[in-house]
This record gives sequence, C-alpha cells and structure tokens, in this order.
Amino acid sequence: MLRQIWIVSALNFKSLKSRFWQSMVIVVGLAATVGVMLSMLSVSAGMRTAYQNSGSPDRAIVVSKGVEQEASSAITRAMAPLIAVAPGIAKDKDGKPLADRTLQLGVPVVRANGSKGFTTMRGMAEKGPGVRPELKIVAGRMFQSGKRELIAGVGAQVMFQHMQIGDKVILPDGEWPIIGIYKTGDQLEGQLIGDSETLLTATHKTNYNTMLVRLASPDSLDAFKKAMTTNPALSVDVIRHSDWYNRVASQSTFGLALLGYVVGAVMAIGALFGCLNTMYAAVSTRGREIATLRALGYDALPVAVSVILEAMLLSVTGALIGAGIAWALYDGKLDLFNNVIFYLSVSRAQIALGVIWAAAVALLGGLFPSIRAARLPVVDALRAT
Amino acid sequence: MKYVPLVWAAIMRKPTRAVLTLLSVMLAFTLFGLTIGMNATFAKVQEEARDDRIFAFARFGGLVPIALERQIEGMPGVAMVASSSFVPGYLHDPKNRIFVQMMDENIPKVLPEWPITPQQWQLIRDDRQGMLVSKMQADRWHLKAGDTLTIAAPAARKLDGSPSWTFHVAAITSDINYMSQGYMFGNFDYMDKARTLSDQSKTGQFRVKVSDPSKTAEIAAQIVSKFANSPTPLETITEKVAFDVSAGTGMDIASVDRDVALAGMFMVLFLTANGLAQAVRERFAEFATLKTIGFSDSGVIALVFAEAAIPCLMGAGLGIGLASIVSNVMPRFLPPGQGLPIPTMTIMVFVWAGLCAALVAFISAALPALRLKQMDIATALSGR
Amino acid sequence: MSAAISLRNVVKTYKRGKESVPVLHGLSLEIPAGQFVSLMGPSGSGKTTILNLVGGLDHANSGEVIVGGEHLETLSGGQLTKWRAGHVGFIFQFYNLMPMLSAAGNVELPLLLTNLSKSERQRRVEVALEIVGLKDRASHKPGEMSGGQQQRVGIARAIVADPPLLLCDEPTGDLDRATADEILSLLQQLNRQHKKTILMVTHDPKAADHASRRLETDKGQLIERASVTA
Repeated sequence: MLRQIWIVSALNFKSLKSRFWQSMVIVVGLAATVGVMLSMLSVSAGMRTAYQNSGSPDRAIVVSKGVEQEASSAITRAMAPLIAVAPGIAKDKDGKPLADRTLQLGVPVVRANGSKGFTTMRGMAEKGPGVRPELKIVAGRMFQSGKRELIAGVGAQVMFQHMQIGDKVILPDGEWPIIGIYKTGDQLEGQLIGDSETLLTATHKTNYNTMLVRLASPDSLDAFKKAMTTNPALSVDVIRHSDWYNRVASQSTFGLALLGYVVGAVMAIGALFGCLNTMYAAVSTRGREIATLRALGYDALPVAVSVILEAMLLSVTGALIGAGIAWALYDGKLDLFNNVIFYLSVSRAQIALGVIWAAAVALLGGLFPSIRAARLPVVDALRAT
Repeated sequence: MKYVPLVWAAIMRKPTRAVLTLLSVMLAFTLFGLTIGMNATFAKVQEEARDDRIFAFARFGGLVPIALERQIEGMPGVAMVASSSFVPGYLHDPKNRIFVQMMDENIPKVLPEWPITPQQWQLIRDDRQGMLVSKMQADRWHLKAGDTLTIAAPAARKLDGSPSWTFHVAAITSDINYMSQGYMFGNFDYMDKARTLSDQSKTGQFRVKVSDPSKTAEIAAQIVSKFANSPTPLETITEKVAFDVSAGTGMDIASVDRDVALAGMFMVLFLTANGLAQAVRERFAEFATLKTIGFSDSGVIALVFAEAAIPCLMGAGLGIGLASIVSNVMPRFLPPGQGLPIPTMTIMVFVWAGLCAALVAFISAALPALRLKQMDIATALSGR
Repeated sequence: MSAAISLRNVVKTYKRGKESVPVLHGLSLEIPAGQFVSLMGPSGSGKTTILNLVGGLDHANSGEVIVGGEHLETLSGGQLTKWRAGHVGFIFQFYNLMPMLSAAGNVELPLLLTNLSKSERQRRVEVALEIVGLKDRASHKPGEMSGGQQQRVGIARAIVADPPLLLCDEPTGDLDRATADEILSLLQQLNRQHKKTILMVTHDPKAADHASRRLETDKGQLIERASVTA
C-alpha cells in the first residue's frame, strides 16, 4: 500500500508542472496568510520576550499589597530596612543583603521620528548592580551614588533622540547629564537609570516604588515570602520576579497576539477555500490519469492520499515562503510599542506554528477533493474528453 | 440587463468553484473591512479631537496639586481648566478591571460636546457617590440606574486604609467615541475627601481650554516651562496629538492595517485571475462561437469582465457585512482594559472595498480579455 | 430572403510559422440566391477556408468576396462582426452549444444582440425551435440531449435571427446515418420552404447528395460535379 502511495504521489508531482498557475494559488494564499500572521505576531512575541527576559527566577519583587503595576506600588523609607534584613536574601561579598530600593518614574522623551513619547526612568540604589548582574556598562561609566547622573540603555539610544553621552535630561532640580550607556539583554534597555536617593529628592517624592531582592537560591522564595507576609508592620506582596514579568507579558501582549491570530485565522479560512477550489480543479484535470491508474489496479486510497500530499506540499511551501519573508523583513528589528522597546521576533517556534497552520489548511482543503478523487467513476473518466 | 443570465450561467457553470471563490473573496474582504474599518475609527477619533484643548499632567508621573489649576487658568490665552483623576480598581477579580474617572465641576464646561446632559452631570453633583456609566460599560457589567457598585482599588486606598470604593449608578449615558471601551464618571470631591491625607488636594490631569486655537501649541509649551522648576513639573500634549494613535503607541498602525488588507487583496487577485484565466481557456471555443454569432470584441470582453466583477463585488459586499458583524461582537470577547479600537464600516470603507473589488476584477480579466481579442476565430473553432 | 454569393479571384495564404501555405489560388465562384450547395474535398484543399471567407470570419489576401451585395473584403473586423449578426447563420460539426444554457437560452443568443424586447425574443425562439421540431425540449440543457437534438438546437440558433445565408461545416460529421438524414432533410426544408441559401462543407457523399448543387475542391480549384434542380 505504501508503495502504491509513493508511486501515485510521485506521478502526481510530475504532472504538477502542467497545473502550475492553479497550484500557485495555494502557494500564494498560504504565503500571504502565514507571512501576515507571523509579521503581526512578531510584535507580541517580541514584547513578550523582552518582558520575560526582564524577570529572573532567582529574584523576588516586593510591592504594596494588591498592586499590579510597579509604578503604583509604594515602599516607605521605614519599610525598606525591614525588608532588607529578611531571611532568604543573597548576600554580597561584604555580607550585605542584595536588596535594591527602586523607583519607577515616567519621563517624556522625543522618539527617533520626532514624535513625543515616554519611557521609564528607574531609580537604583547601591545594591542595584548586585541584584541585577546582567547590567553591563558598554560606554562611559556607571553613575555614582548621590550624584545627579544618568545612564541610558542601548535600546533607548536607538529609539529616542538626545540619548547620547553628554545629553541632558531635565528633572525638577535641573539638568542631569547622561554619563554612560548600559545593556541588560531585556526590556530595561529602553530606559534610563539613576540613583534612587538622588531621584527621590529631585522629584520631591517620599516613597520608593518597589524592592527588588536577589534570592539566596531560587528555593529561598518561600522563606522570604513567609517573613514578609507575616510581618505586621508590612503590607506587601512578594512575587518571584520571573512570575511577575510573565504576568505583565501576558497582559500586555494578549490583545496584540489575539489580533495576530484573528487575522491569521481569517486569512487561513480564505486560503482554505482557495485550496479547496484548486484541489477540486486538480482532481478534475487529473481525471483521466486517475481513472487509468484505477483501471490498472491501483487502490483508491493512494489516489486520495496523493491529493492531500499535493495540497500539503503546496501549502507548506507557501507557508515557508511567507515565514521567510516575515523573518527577513522583521526578525531582530528594534521596535517601539506603547513606550516599550523590544526586538521583533519571528522565532523558529512561530515558523513551526505557521507551517502547522498551513498543514491544517491543506488537510481540510484536500480532504473533500481527495474523497472525490477516490470515488471517481473510472469508466466515465476514461471516456471523457 | 439582458446579458445577466448569460454571465450568471457562465459563473455557475461549475457551482462549487463559484461558491468557493465567492467565500474566499468574502473572507479577504472581511479582513479588509476589519483593518480599513479600524483605520476609519482612528480617523473619526482624530477628527473629533479639538484643536483648542490641551492635556497637562505630571511630567514624572504621580499626582499634581489642584492649586496648579488656578495658576494655569491665570495664564494669558487660557480660557478654562478642568481636572480629573481616576480610581483604578477591579470588580471581585483583578481580571475585571474598572477605571472610574473622577471629574470636577469644570469638566462639562471644557468638554461640552460630550453626550451627557447637564441634568445627568447634576445627578453626580447631588449625590457625591453618584456615577455615570456609559452604555458599553453598563452592558459589560450588567448595570442599570439605581444599582450600587463597589470596586476594590488597592492602589488608591482611602483614609482608613480600605481599598473599597462604593458608587451609586445615577444614569446610563451614551458612549464617547475615543473611549473605545466605554467609561464611568464619578465626582472628584468624593475621591478627594475620602483619600489618604497625602493624596488629598491632588489630581491626575488637567484639561486646558485655550481661547485661540492657533496658539494651542504655544500655550502647551508655555505651561511646561512655567512649572519646569516647580516641585511638580508638568508635561503637556495637545488633544490633536493625543488622539493620534500612531503618535501615541509609536507604531504606525494605520499602515500595518493597510498592508494586511493589501495582502488579502493580493491573495484574492491571484485566486480570481487564475480562475478566470482557466475558465476562459476552457471555454475558448464558446467565445469563438459567440464571435461567429456576431458578438463584438468589446462585447465578449465585457462578458468576461462581468464574469469577474460579479463575484468580486458580491464578495466585497458580503465581506464588509461580515466585518461589521464581527466588529460588533468583538468587544465581548476582549478582556476589559485591552483598548483595541472597534472597526467601523464607514461609507469610505465601502467605497474603498468597491474600488478594490473592481480593480481585482479588472486585472483578473485583463489577460484573458487580451487573448480573446487576439483570437483568430477560424483557428479557435477548428482547434478543439 | 436569399443571398447571392460571389467569389472573384480569391487568393488565400496561411502562415504556418515561417512557411506560407497557399490554399486558394485565385478562386472564383458564383452561387445564386436560394441554392443549396455542397462542397467536398480532401483536407487542406480549402473548403473550410471558403466557408470562413464567405462567413466573414477571415479576410482573403486578394480578390473579392461579395455576399448579398456586400463587399466583405472592404469591411474591417469589427464591421464584419456586425454584418455577420444579421446575415449569416453558422452550423458546426460539434454543435458548439453553451453547455450551461438551456436549448432556449442557446437559441436566444443571436437575438441578444438586437433591440428586440424580451417577449419578442422569446416568440422568435419558440418559432425557431418549432421549425426544428424541439419545442418540447426548450428548457433542456445540451448535456441532456442526443447528438441529433443538439445539432437541431444549433440549427435553431442559426436561423433565429432569420439570416438569408446558412453556412454548415460538416453538420452531420458526428451523427449516425439515420440522424444525419433527419438533419439534412431539415436543411432541405430550410432551403426549399424558407428560401435560405445554404453552403455546406462535408466529407460525406450521401450528405452532399441532399444538396441541389455539388462542388469539389482540389488543390484550391473548384470543380462542378452535378447540379440537381429539385
């Protein structure tokens, strides 16, 4: 049986050339569908990756109870030391706890294309670099505690104007110069960072936003969390940093991803009807060939399978072409959406998704024509002109 | 026209093929409607933005003192200032996000075009805990006038530490276009007096109305410089810029929409052109016969064009119709707080769809029509 | 209504790639109005070419083609098309019906080119179908008919606009003997009762017998075989 399938399919593919333009309908349809879908998903996928990279399983974030945005959280000066002495926090080489008092401020910027936007200015305290070892200075130097200095991320440098070393950012207490450029490999690269204490004074605020701690080990979370939630002086939530960002990622990208899938689905259905059309036409064009094979003794199943295989070959080819175009145009490009900088991502997983999408279309689009091919009345087809 | 039966018979020669083609065209135009319809919504919102209004808010986030309102009002060229803040909370489950915008009494004067009557505004002045709920939000949360709603807002705790805010639904009001998910308006005084002390007498943003629209950008810049060295520096955006979606998100969504619609059209063009070329090829002798009977070149070409145009136009109509239905149903499936604009099928959307359909038909028919024109009847009739 | 056909010194050459194949070398032919003429000859001898020239489907390289007083060699392609509509009816070997139209729909086709009202068109279609004896099959599609019936539909279509001239290209080539005789009788009827001039190309000597004048082509020349006044 397998041998028959092989022979009939090979014969089918040989005759494919004579059905070239008809077959291209499927290829073009799936190329357009998968290309558009992956292009749209590159935004949500890229944002998701940027967010997820920002969180780490060996860190925990402490926020005011019930709050879902870092900027809405408030950790008072009194609370900070209580948190820092809790069990479960890693210590640096001097034995001091790696706990960072952070600030989240919105700061207006001018985008590369001239339009106005916003980005986050983070406050980092003296243990900040210890908590976030992935932060590396790639140009200039790190800011000093107590000094009115800022460092800008590599992403911010590309997407915003006036983010070079020497440029000044206006804060309430005057101009702060940018004295270094950093990279972190995550969403922080689109931001600015300065010293928490100095920023607090400059912006007339009294509270920090969150505390970010490096856990002694990923399992230390429970101990740390217990200490925090049972302390009557504190009213906080403790969440593993990676979980925090997973949630943020999901919430931020849900709508966009949904949009991508809806568009992909609508186009896929359109391509499906085109595929059905083409495969029905292919079967009727091959009528004499199929009838001859049947008359010679080939079973109906190989004929049916060959139809589906043809549909699959064409649709997967189209999907790969579309995915290739989306990848070439977008993958790795820096982009900005809702003031978050990220790299557009057309990943292998998404390309695989596109291929599976196409295969599903081919399966449905080839099924009914394949049944018709199997049921072809042999005698009539042999006589037909 | 008397030729319609002939064209229709030609299209329905292979009924399955005709139906499948129509469905495919329909779906491509559904996509067209959703994307171009979304652009139409953006354009509508942009049109409604007034050129004499400015948003002003804290440059570095957080709240701004109400006192600034009087200071801004005193600036030359400023007609009036209103302020609003909001309570960000949820109903029972953090997933059920609710934002109640807390308005001061100047808001109706600075934003008179909003579809809320003075009587309705008065309701929430009379009852400080009163709330105006727009129809979209009322439908989503099953609210009607007279209901009581309590939301949990841990980020905006009250004086006593409680995160719960209770509102009385005073009236259900009409939706405002640019608030794509609907709105809830409360009384700012209620919020201000019940808040933690450190947050009292502070508000979220100012809506500034200027007297001379030509000076709007200028005044916006002046506000920024006036408070640049104060404890709470302000940032301003004119309403026209604020309502521009691509300026806001940083991504040119309108051209993404157009590209997607174009991709769909390309798919359809390929399908239709191929189908028509094949049909004409199969019926070449029939067309030759028509020519012998006396149908002119242009007559035969017109038949072919009609054969392409009818499914394209039908598909376009059905597709835009389906897009309209999907747009109306879509909001129910989106979680609250996901601000995706609802596509609207304006006249322009229909016009563009019609033009695209005609263009697709024209291009599809072009090559077959050329072949028919060049046909040598004698050869066509004999070459079976 | 009848038409006279005159071919004077007609030369027709076909181009097959780089080669020029001469088919008619200055052929002359006179067919008076109301005659039923059969034209036989081997393949490539030019009989179909003569038919095409008389029907205005093709232009001669030189010479005159006069049908019903009209000099076809002076007419452009577009003018020929217009002329054909009212002056010639074609009947083909393989019928050339539109498979997706009913018999009535097929017969109506030439009338769509006129300004007649729908009811008037329907009346004429009925008349034509009546003449060929297919009135009760008006709503059937070609796929539901035998070869003979399909050819009758083809004839009905050819006569519905009442042209004076009928051109037939192997009209019985695809039919069995009995059916062929029926068709040929019908053609005779159209010639004798309705005074139509008929030029019929055929391979079949028995078919040619039904005509009142028999011609043969041989290497581009015409030979009179017999003339029967019936």
